[in-house]
Amino acid sequence: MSMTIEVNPLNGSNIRNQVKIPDSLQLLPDGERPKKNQHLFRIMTAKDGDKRVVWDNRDLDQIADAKAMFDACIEEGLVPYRVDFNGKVTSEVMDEFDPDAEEVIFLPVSKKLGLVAGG
Amino acid sequence: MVGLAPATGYGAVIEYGGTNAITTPVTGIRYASVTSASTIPVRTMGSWGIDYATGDSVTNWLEVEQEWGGVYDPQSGWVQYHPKPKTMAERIKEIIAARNAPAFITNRKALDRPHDIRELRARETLCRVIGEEKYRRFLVQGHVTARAKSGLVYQIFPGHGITSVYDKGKMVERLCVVLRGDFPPTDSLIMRYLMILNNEENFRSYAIKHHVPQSLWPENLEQIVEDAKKNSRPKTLAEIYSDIKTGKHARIGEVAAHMREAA
Repeated sequence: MSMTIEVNPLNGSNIRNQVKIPDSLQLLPDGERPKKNQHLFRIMTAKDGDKRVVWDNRDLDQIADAKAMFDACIEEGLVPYRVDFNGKVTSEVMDEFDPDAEEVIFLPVSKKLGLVAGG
Repeated sequence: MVGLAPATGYGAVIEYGGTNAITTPVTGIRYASVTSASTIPVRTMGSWGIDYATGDSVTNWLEVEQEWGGVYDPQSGWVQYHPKPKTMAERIKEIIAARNAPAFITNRKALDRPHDIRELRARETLCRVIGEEKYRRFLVQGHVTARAKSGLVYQIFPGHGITSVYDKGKMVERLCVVLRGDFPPTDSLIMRYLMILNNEENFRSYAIKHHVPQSLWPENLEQIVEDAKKNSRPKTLAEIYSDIKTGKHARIGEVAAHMREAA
């Protein structure tokens, strides 16, 4: 059974866009840390909080699936930020998938989603 | 002593309210004019005892605290008990203790441990985003600061908290940007933090500006102080004399300095 992540669940609306998690990738359970060769996507969702998806950077199939998922997230309007080697997020947005990026955080801040607004 | 020998650290055993207290007065601190045990600090008390001085039985005896002294009245045979006066050191200690602040300090802005699993995950992500040191400060202070490329410093709060903007330590703006939807509060903070660092102008384009509370001090305070320094002149002897007379100046040193200047 394939897993999905709900993105853009606007309050009060029926919009439920889904990003499919490829079968070769795994959801990281709470409290666990990624293993040595695992890279990580953190995807911010309103329904489940931050979902963590891990993939092995030595497995070409998983890298390809991770790229597909990366592109799917961008298509849904999520914005990827790379986590730097010193453990802090860089201020630059990633333009394309980088298999060397140890960690990527996806935020729902694009204009397409329209979730960011003045209060 | 009456009935019961006083233990170490405690004072006289006295009789109160009984007939022996009046009819068989003896010298020394033995009998009191008290009629109730509640008026003096009592260690132990009883309803029957033996007066070792006279061999008589007494009723209603009690043993008082040692710091209670007394004055013997030879006419009535009564001892007027009153508290021992406190020394100056004891009084000062009491005053200092009464004025002391509570021995613990709490920071009301500190964040509690969340019960929502989504908020826990968001905080874990925040720790990754800002680093452990900043994250620990966030837990204590309840906010995160970010210096944008423009040099402005943004103070970001979780949830729908208004973001304060500081320029050289002075608050210049209050901006409100929210993440719509049922996101945990810390996710909203992460969003603002990254937007400010990545594209400050974009962040500001979303923001609604709120009123900046005015400082109690005038904006040109530094200029006022500088002008006052420039315009100050040494006082004349007549002015100094007038000040001393009215009690404004009591320091001889200042008078002497002004006199030297005048000379």
